[in-house]
Amino acid sequence: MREARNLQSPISNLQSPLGFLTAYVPEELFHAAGFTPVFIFHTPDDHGYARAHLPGFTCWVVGSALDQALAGRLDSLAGMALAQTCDTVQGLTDLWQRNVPDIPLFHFGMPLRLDGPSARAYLLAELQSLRERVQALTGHPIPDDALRESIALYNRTRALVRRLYAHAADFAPSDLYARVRAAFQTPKETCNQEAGGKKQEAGGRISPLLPRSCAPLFLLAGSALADPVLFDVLAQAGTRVVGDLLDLGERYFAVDAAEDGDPLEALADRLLALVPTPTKHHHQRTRAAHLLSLVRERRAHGVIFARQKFCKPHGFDYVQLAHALDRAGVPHLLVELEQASQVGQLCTRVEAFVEMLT
Amino acid sequence: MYTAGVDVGAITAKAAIFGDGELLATAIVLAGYDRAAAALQILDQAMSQASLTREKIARLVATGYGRVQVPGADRTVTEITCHARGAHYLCPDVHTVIDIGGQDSKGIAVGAGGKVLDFVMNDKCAAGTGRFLEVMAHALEADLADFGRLALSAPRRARISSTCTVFAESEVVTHLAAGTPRPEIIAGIHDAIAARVATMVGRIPIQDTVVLTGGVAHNAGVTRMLEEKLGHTIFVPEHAQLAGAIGAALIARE
Repeated sequence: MREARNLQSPISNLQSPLGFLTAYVPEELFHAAGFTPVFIFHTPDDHGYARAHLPGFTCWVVGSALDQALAGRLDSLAGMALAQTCDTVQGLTDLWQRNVPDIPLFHFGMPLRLDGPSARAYLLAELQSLRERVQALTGHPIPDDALRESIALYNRTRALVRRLYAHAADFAPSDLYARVRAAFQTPKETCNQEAGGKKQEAGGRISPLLPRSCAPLFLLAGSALADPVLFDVLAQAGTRVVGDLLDLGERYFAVDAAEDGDPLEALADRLLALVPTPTKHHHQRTRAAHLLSLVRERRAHGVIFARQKFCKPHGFDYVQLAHALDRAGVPHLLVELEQASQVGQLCTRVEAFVEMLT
Repeated sequence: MYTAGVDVGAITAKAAIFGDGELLATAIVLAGYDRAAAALQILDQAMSQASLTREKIARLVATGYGRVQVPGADRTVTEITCHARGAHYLCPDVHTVIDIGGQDSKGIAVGAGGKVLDFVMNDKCAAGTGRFLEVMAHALEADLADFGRLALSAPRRARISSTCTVFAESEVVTHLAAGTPRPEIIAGIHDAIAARVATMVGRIPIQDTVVLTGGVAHNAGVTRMLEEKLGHTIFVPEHAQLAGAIGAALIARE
């Protein structure tokens, strides 16, 4: 198997690449229209172009996406999709349309209350509207059968990633998340072909000081797949990650869409069934309860919160989750990640947490 | 058995040597830019004090930001763990450690035997560190060693509200231009650093005995104002700056 870090293709090599941010974009719909959805991860490089347009307290996930676009790094994108999540992403919607007019933007509304009485109807209307806007751009209809085929393709990828997570403790965290990130940046056809039928091989970068039997087992919580530097630091500290509550992590791949029936209803039901991100609410399916159940189920020794600086939703969410963990006696560590993290200080925090638990 | 701990921090390198449970020697030097050389130098000094050669040191544990650069270390341990262990040795009743070093500050909740129960760190802002005092002492042409005494001599404290060291220095310049007496500005600077550290430490449970470690522990002004903010008496052990190295040497025995 190729080195996991090299699994993703450059955007310019993809067929009709469609960039997206946030964890609620219905990728299948764009795929059925002929696009190749690819998540726009942040880069540690900052060209400084976005700063003129953004307040100083903007999270660097959004800041980096706009910066990359203004620097011309995303010129090969055939489109960009944003789902309604936080205020910063909402702000990016306007900024994108004004400053990146050559890359068409699709904004997709997601209800705040996922269990509200009108949530499903609202979501179905939004999906239908999105379908029509995509069809208008391409000039081609998106037949139901094409949507079902895309749903089936994405379900296979989701199943593969779930299998990966089932063996998460066999991987160095850096290798585990290189594979998960690749699932967001590689065409699903390639992803399924490369990973399917092959046993996931564990990486070899785990510290020899801590064999699996005595390695600290952690869960990660936070927003996007954060800075790869964190995963390297976790690997160097000899830890294993046994699951996560990252917006773009395990929760994203946990639920399949139905492959029969109305495909828009299938997409809506999948999005509503996901564990909510901090910008959404579900009365019974709370993030704290889910995190605690993960801790018990995976026998995790602790939780590491990987919070991106200036991410307000996860900042408030942390307070609630940390309180729930405290009450349950589960140790946790908060690390705040910059656009270009300082490795030494990150190491000290993670290593001290490991020393505290061992 | 002889064991050694070397703590290479942002400004100074420290060493401690234990023999049969007894602290035999300690040493401190400026770390400079060559951390490995500073580590070797400080270990040599400590060994010389204890009349020991390197072969006699059974185990060496390195800590501090430069811990990975210490030649010949048997193990590296973070300064958080080492300061907790060292503070427990210096004050067995310790439950909270506040370590204010040159580059960062930390609050550590300590349990039985000096075990870390929880910790918080400020590593993104110089305003709660020894570097803040250095910059301000330089701006005010004051002797750093005398800075704390000058702060306590002031009848009032000037307000330094900026959370950024560079902008705080600008505030100092503004105060000087307005004719604010130098001791009041110095007192304000100490009040500001105490406020930053107290806010950070408030995120962990603070229980007596509270022990202050790190280089800034020798500054009586910061200690006094931190006591005011926290509402706890602070114990400053004789070897406060050496707590990390002492903890490392103790861990080396395990």
